[in-house]
Amino acid sequence: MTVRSRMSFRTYVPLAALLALAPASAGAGGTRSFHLGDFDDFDAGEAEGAAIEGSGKVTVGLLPARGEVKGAASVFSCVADPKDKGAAYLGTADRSGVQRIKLTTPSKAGAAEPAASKLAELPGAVVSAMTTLPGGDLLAATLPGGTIHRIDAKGKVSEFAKLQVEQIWALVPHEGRLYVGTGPKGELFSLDLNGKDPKVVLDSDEKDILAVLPVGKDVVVGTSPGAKVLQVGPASDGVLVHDFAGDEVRALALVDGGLVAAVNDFTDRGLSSVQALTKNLNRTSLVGQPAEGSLDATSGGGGAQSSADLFFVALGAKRDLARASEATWESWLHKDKQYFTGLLAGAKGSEVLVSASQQGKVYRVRGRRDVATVADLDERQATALCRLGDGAVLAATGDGAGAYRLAAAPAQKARYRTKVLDAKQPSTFGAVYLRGKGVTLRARSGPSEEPDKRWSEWKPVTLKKEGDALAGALALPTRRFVELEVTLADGGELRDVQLFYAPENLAPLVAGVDVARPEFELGDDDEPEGKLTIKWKAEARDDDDLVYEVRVRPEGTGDKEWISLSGAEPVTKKEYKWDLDSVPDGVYEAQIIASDEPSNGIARAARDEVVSAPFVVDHRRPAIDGVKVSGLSITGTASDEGGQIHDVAFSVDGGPFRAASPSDGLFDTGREGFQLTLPEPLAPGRHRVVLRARDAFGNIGSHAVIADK
Amino acid sequence: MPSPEPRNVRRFARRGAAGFALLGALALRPAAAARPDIMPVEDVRPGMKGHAVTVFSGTGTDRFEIEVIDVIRDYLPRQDAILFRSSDPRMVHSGIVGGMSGSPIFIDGKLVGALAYGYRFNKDPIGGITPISNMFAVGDLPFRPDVLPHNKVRGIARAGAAGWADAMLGLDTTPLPQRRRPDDLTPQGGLAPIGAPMSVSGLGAEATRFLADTLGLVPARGGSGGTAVGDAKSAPAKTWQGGDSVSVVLIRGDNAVAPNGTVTWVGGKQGEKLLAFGHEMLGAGPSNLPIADARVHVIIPSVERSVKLSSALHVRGSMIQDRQAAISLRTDVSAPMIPVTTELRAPEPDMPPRVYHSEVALGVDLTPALAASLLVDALGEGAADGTEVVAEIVHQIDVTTSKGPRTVTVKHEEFFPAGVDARALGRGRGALIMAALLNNDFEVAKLRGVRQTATLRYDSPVEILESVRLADADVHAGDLVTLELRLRDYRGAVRTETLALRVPDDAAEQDIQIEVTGGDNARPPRPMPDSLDDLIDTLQDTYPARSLVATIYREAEGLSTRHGLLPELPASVLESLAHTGSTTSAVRFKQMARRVIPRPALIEGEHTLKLSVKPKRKFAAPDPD
Repeated sequence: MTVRSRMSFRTYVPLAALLALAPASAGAGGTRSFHLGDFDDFDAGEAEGAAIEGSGKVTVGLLPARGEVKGAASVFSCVADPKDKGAAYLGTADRSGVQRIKLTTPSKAGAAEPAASKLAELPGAVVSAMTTLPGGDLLAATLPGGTIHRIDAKGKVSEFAKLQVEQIWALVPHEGRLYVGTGPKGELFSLDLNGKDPKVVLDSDEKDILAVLPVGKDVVVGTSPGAKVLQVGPASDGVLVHDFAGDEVRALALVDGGLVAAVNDFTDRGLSSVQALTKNLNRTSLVGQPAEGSLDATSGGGGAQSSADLFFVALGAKRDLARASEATWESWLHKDKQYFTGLLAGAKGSEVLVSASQQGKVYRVRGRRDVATVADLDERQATALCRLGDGAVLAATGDGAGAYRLAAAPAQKARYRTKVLDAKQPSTFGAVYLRGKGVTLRARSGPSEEPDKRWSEWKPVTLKKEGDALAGALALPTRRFVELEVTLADGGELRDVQLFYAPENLAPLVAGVDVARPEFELGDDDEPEGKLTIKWKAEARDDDDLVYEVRVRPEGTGDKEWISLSGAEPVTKKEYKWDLDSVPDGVYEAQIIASDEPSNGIARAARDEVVSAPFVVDHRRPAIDGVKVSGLSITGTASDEGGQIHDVAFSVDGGPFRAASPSDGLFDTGREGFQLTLPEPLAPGRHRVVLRARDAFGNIGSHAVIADK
Repeated sequence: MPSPEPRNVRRFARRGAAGFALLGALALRPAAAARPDIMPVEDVRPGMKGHAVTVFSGTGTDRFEIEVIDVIRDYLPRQDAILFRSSDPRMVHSGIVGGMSGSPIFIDGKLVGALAYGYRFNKDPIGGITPISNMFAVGDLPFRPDVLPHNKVRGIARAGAAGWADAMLGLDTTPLPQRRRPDDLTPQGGLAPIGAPMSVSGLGAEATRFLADTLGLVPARGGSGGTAVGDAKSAPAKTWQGGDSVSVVLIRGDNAVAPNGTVTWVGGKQGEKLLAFGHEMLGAGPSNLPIADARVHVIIPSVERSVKLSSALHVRGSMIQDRQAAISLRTDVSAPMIPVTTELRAPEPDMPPRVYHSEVALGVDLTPALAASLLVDALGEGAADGTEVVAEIVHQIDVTTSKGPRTVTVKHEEFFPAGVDARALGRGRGALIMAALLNNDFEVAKLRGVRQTATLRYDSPVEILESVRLADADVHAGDLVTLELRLRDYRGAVRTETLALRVPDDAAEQDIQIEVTGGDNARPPRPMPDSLDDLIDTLQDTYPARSLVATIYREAEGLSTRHGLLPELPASVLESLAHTGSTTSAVRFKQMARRVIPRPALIEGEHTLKLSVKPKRKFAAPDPD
């Protein structure tokens, strides 16, 4: 989404690509706009029954069917029930357990959602991996520990195998063996299908084998924390297929023509929270509750500091893994501030579904430029994907346990809600232009980033055809935040949204004015240029462009006496040089008036003005009198009516000027005695001495005397 | 400002409310006001004369005359007080006496209430009476055998599990009630409850002080008791009457502690219901503490507050309510006590081990404090040495949880440079674990018995960890790094020892934090408990006091859940399981690798180093040795 200055919609659209590169700035009359036009813009919002396509289009999608999962905080893993086409087993977290759910079509409005039924409770905190055996029994691994439980259809639990590992992340039957990805030693085990004959077929340098994927006779595994893909097979024992920049290869999938890897990269967490978290661990181990108070026990501060990438490498028709280590892995999808949790190869072609940690999203990716959001689930995370026996896809959710059968039925209508748009200041919201068809719009505004009861009610916006766009006008309370909701009828689509707004104008702030006298050096023999430099500090506070007017007046006179120095042409710099040639001596004040008229127009412009401290304009030259020459010693008095004497100097016979000393030790008043002794060696005879007095303004007065030696 | 309500209107309102609220239940009871043997407070007038009944000596009651000075309305919430003066020469000499609390006061042959209040440092025998109607309201409250007495929280200690956990983790709050000297107990001037003088025998000064600090009762040392406090079965039958001396038995056996007061009223079909004290004892509300008849040895006159010196005789029932206006007693109910054996092995080889057998009353805060006082007493008696002493305290606590009986064993070792601070040890790990067993979020353990053993030795086995230095210039992942520990014996020489730690292989390009400390200063990582038995396992899981614990903390995090510890998780799994949207379940902690090295001495000091780890060496690092 971009924020940009105003121009007509018709003009804007062809230039969209160009303007998207332009920085946000204030437009004429203070008008700005929000623009949503591409996939990422729309993906930041929420959809219900709508598909967000990679081309930057919201269309009516398919409605998922939700199933309720009770008694658990999250579903962490899933696998289809091989004996029932619409059913799946769900492995839960917070308390390990397996539930079974059958999802077919969306429940009718108002009807109760189908609920999962408890199949078995297991020891531990989470069911980390599941698969089914040829006979239909379920295998479930739990954390912590290396136990694989066997569960029959009636929920009877028995120990299938116990491995000497802390974690099991993947259970994959392949070629009559069960492959088990484990941690924290990065071992891949192989067992027979009775849970016997465990062998370590890969002992990697990594900590965790997170993903296991059969490819031909071999398997490839994804690891953490090195984010590597390794190949294991009869002829390959942990051959490095690819080493990604990142922390983990969370999931792998095989699609037509290639291999897809979900790679997550997390920001290092640092060590600053060691003490607090250790104290919290100790406390919770005693009282079972986290510490009270302001301790940030999440350390992440809410939301993962991560990015996620989906990479694809072509393997060729023969699925040659050797190519994967040589060919380029191309990024199909990149997401910031989230991580991917699961992958599922699509039913056809190179399609792959990706479950993501943020906002319960499931993306469908078919290639580098073909990305669509196919599900936007109510829960915060989509944690796992599995394909049901009837070919449909089931997505499990965490941070709120649930299960969805995706694309269960075509939606009759869809809703798309933009993310909350921030105008930075309380704003008047005006025209909105949509490109698309079959859409209706409503909007609301409010004072907070999260909508709450202080927000306005949703207000319908009437849309009319205007050129190739649908135009409407928002009549919302003046607030900082705004949200739009577009409803798409069957066949409707939304391609582009532009909303104009005018933030309340914040007056500029002039922080201070400095008036600098003409500058000169002590060694300068000439008077400085007769200009005063007026400088000021000012800020717009709301990114408006500012212009300034500079005025002066004699001190103590009235407002009518202000004389504009800058005239009709406004000053844009924060400095003005005032030519004093025609200015009479006296004490003056300068006034700076800042205005944000360029950004807001003359009617809405706000001003701020500041008057400087009084300053002196002094053209009069100091006088030198009372000069007495006694041998080589000369004394006299320098005086100035406009200010204090700055220095007195002398020159002997046209030589360079040298400084004389003040009689009282310092030049600090308008009348200063001075004394000097002509420096030796000095040739005997008569010498012409020029005395020079300079005032603080740089005016120079001189006097010549003769000294005899 | 609204005008005050007329008195009769207010009282009518009180009566109306009595049936609807607990506070109402504590207000005037209409039935009490109507009884012919009772004089309601409304009928009491200044100048009325009457008498009080109490025990001055022995077990027989005596009476002294009183005259009503005035009635103080709403002296306490919904409770008036009647001021009186006594002209009895004994009272003129001693003033109002601690232990007379509850002495019934009659006017015109009608029971008015109980002597309950006095003034400290009083020059005249002026006291206050709690109206009997308020006491009856307490007597109406039922016996709640399922409630474990729970003292009012005093001081700055936090309530419940948070309190003992704070103390166990060394956080800045105290687990037990803040220490209070008896002098501080009545900071306000004016009329105040006389209090029940806590008759103490078989306990030394230090333990007495510890109890006084903890319970907030004024101790009166000198009563006998101990093993003399027998059971009712072995005693002649007792017919209670108003004015009898009564004690609440907190400890009996080789030691005895029994706050003492006077019975005000006896009722019930069998005379099984008693009201006493006229004020609270510990303010615990529903209670179940043993009571005994008592013998008064003598009244000890004092300028500040005279007290009865008494001894409990035979346990004859239970205190079932402990509230503002009275304690309510039942002679047909018995209260449990648990056996506590305290053994002291003194540092002086010639002193034989001493074993004390006692029984203590059961209460959430009471039992840990009472058991601790017995330990404090043993230590005070056998270890009054002002020199370097090391104390090893072992607690074996027999409990029954919902999963069955088990014994909790905890060992604690502490060094004292100038003699044992018995009271500090009394507030130590054993008392905290008893508090945890009785006051946690899961269930109340049934305490069956406590054995506490203190073994003292003249020794100073302490090493002070002065500094920790990393010997290697660069630290690479997978390196075995050498730490140079500068250790100083207590009042001894300084020496340097080395400690090797393996930097994790996967720590390249990350920061790590190395922490070195003593075994007492670190706790093994444990998951969130899901039951009392889980909690007990955690309480027992400690490092040996004589060990050095070296920990490498990592940037990566693990999760503690109610169903186990997940110490090492890939980042995405950690994020998925540690929900940002709920406050339940998992708690994050920094991954750690820990080495525990047994030492010959206790370790004092804690040092921390932060290091940046370089990538793994391409060639093997040189052997640190």
